[in-house]
Amino acid sequence: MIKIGHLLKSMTIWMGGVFMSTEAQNVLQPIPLHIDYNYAKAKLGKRLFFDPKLSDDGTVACVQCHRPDNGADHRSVSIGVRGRKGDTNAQTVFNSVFNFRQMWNGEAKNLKDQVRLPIHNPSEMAMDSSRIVRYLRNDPSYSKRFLTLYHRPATFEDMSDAIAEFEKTLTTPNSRFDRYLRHETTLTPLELRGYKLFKKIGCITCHNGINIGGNSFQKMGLINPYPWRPSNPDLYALTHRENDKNVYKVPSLRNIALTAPYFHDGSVPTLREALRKISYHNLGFLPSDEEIHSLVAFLKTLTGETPKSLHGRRE
Amino acid sequence: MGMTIVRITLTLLAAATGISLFLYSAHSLKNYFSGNLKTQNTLQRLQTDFYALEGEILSNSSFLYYNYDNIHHLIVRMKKEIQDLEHSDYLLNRIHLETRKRLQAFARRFQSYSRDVEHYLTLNASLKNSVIYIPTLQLKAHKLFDTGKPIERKALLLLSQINATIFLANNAKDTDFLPDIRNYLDRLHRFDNDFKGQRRRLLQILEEHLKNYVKNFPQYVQLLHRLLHNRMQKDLSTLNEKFQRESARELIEINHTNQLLLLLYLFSLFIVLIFIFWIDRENRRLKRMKGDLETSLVTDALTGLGNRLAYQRRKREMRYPVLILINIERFKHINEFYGTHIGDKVLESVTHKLIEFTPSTLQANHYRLGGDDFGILFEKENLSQSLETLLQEFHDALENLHLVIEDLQIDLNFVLGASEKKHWLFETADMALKFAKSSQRKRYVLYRDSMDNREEIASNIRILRSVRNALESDTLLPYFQPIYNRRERRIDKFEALARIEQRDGKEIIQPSQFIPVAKEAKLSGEITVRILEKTLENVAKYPYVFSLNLEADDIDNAEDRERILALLDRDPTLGRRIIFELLETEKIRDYEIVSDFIDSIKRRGCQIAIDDFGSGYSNFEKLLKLDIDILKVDGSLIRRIDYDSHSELIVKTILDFARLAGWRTVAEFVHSRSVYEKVSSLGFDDLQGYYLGPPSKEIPNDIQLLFEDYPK
Repeated sequence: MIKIGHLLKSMTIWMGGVFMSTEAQNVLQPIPLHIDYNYAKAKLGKRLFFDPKLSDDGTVACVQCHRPDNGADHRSVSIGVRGRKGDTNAQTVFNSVFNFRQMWNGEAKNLKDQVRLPIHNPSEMAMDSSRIVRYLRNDPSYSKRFLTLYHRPATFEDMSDAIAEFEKTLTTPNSRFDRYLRHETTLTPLELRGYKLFKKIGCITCHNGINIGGNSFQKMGLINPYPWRPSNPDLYALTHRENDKNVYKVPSLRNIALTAPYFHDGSVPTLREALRKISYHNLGFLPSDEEIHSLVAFLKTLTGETPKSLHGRRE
Repeated sequence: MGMTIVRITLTLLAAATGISLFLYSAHSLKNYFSGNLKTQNTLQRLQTDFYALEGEILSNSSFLYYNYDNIHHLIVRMKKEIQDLEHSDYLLNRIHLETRKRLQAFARRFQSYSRDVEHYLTLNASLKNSVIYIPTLQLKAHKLFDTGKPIERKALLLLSQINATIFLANNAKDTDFLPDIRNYLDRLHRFDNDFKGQRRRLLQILEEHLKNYVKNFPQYVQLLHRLLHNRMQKDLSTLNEKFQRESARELIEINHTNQLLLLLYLFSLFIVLIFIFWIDRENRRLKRMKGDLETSLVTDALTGLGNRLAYQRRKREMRYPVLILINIERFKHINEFYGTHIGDKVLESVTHKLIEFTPSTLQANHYRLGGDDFGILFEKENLSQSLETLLQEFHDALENLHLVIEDLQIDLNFVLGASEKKHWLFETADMALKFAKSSQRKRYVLYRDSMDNREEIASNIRILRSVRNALESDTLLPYFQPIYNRRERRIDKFEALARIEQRDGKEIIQPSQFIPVAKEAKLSGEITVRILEKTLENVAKYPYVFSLNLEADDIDNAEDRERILALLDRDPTLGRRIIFELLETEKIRDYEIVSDFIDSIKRRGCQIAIDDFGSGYSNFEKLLKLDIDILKVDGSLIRRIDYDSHSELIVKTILDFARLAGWRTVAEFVHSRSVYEKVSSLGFDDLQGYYLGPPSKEIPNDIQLLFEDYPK
């Protein structure tokens, strides 16, 4: 089974490779149409994802900052338990399975590892592990599910695993750009101009791979420095190396048209503004309206289908 | 027994050890091969992946556009491979200590290597950012700057120089171009005040990009160099080699161990074999012992002849068996007279002689079937003469035997009984033997059906059971037969006769049936005591004299005597109305005891009668020694007295004798009127018999004489 899974995975990569062979040396890849996951665990994970009882005052569920329509938060920074304001704009949970790390500074090495961070964060869900475990073990239906699926009473680790399993399903395949990559459709001349510009001005050096981003760290303000605040969720917060100030995991551009506001601080409400800002800070110039227009057109082709697992009550 | 348990335990241990050794060796080999193969594969994959990773890093540095996912996938896979190796049970063996150490070192180095890769990606992207953007800036500059103006032409020239140098430096990854770039930076800086607006901003952006390039390029080149030229590839090779060498050593060790295990295995097999051999030997020993035991079980130790069991076994196998039983008469006497030592010698000699006298054609087997009983068993078809003749020949030969044992000449008499009844061979031969013993003339007897006393034996057993039952359930009762006093012409006495009632009185057993059996079983004393006890109750109730039977044997037994006297002593007034009728006086062995006992009961007022006088050998002389009061003449003399003159003569003689001795006389068995008249005329004092009244359970309160014409 594992071998077949492996084979499929490598086939997907390979197939992607075949389609991409004419497209910028496989640099951008479509989202795979199929993802392997454990249905029962994902179902349990979905229930947990929607459960506000996992927070200190029973008001904040994962889904409140990772909205079903875009996997992210429309508010510039997230609001946690008792209305506490955070410092950070929540990144989308959609396609996050393809990120090389999780969180703005890559603090979590994978989805499962990420779960603990918002749950323990005092301005997010502010809950400690033992309380959650007690809640899951005392709830008859949860306790039964955990026993069946993990063959032991509920643990924080197993809960994280279930949530991660659900998050794996939150992919958005079949964007127009993916279908273009698969030669299933064509892009408008404007969109193609935007795509070419995307490569020409070097966006692609950071925004590549399946997620068109999410696979490296980069400095925000490479050319023109970006104001630094101690509360920034940057790599510096982990390493305390001067060079790591304002260094973030490059965000994915998938569904970028849907995930306003932008940047780690959610300071930019529109895509146009975001493009201007990142060009200024990292390339040193402000693009023309025409350039912005074509780039926005291109970025809009990256909007995929809403994850199936969010449709309806079941799934 | 303890030894056996120890041996069995040892063998089981050996067998268990053998099996576990075998399993262990198979298991360790399987573990070795699967573990080794898996580890080797993983190590090789790790090496391949590392090459691939270096390849990807190289591609990333040479292509402007690159997918970082490729690098991350490889790193994740390698970390998984390293983790698998670190958690592999197989490598826990101390023989792989070196591999494990090196693996740990490699894992640590790879951790920092992968951090370097991430840092490299960040640096690379920021450099590419500029490398891509600087040409874009030049393209923009060509639109902005006027080549006609020298200063602007100069700026454009500088931009071209910058582009060319960056191109060279970036492709050569050569930091030697950096001083040139710094030089251009200075010159660029000097243009700052020469331009305004868009042109000035373009130059400023270029300046920032160059600064960025100058700042990051050396670090980038250094990092790339470090990532591509490091000892990790070599470490992995060494790790692989070490592992191969360790594996080879491990295989040798496992081989050695397995050889040792094989030896141990063979040794345990050897132990099991020894045990099997031992078991077999033990089995054979037990079989022999069983044989010996059986022989001793069926052999008479003294004579070496077969015993009763051997006889029975042999007999079962035979078709038409014939058994001759030979008994040494009065052998008990020999034992008592000469001692058992001589007795044993006699038995041995007789054994030899018996074998000697047996014709070999009979193919007979000899047995000792009792203390002084020998048996000769053979097939009838082996007889060359009649069985009768053979018996005679045997008897004659034995009778002419004059044994001399330790200078003593011992003459023996033999009795022989023979039978050819297959189903009751021994029993019938024994009957014939008994028959011969009881006969004075015939000393050898062949069994005939008329001798069969088996029914009698069964009946005896039945009766004995009835007697025991009667004693237990108190159904042994006295019946009373009236005795007529001729002179007083009235019934003044009753004889108590023992009866056993069965099935609520519906069946009555007569004393003639049960007394002989009871006597054999030594129960007659008990019967006498019981009858006396019940009679005494009637003595107290009725104004008559009661007589009851007393066996000579009962007097012999001191305990019975005591009990009789004790009963009489309960009420001393009753004694004078009790008559004891002595039975079988001819069997009295010790007249003194009897005489003493008679004295003691007479002192209690009782009278003594002699019962059944005239039957058997009644001895007048001895009777006179006893102090008796009454003589009861036996029924056999009275029964036919009315016409048998012989009986009359004897009875007259007895009566004369009794009159002279001063004894009262009683006629028994007066069963008819003519007998009654005869005995009356002869002058008997008392008369008893059915004519005068049968025995009955109850004594009538008012006695009416049963016969009408009462004699005058």
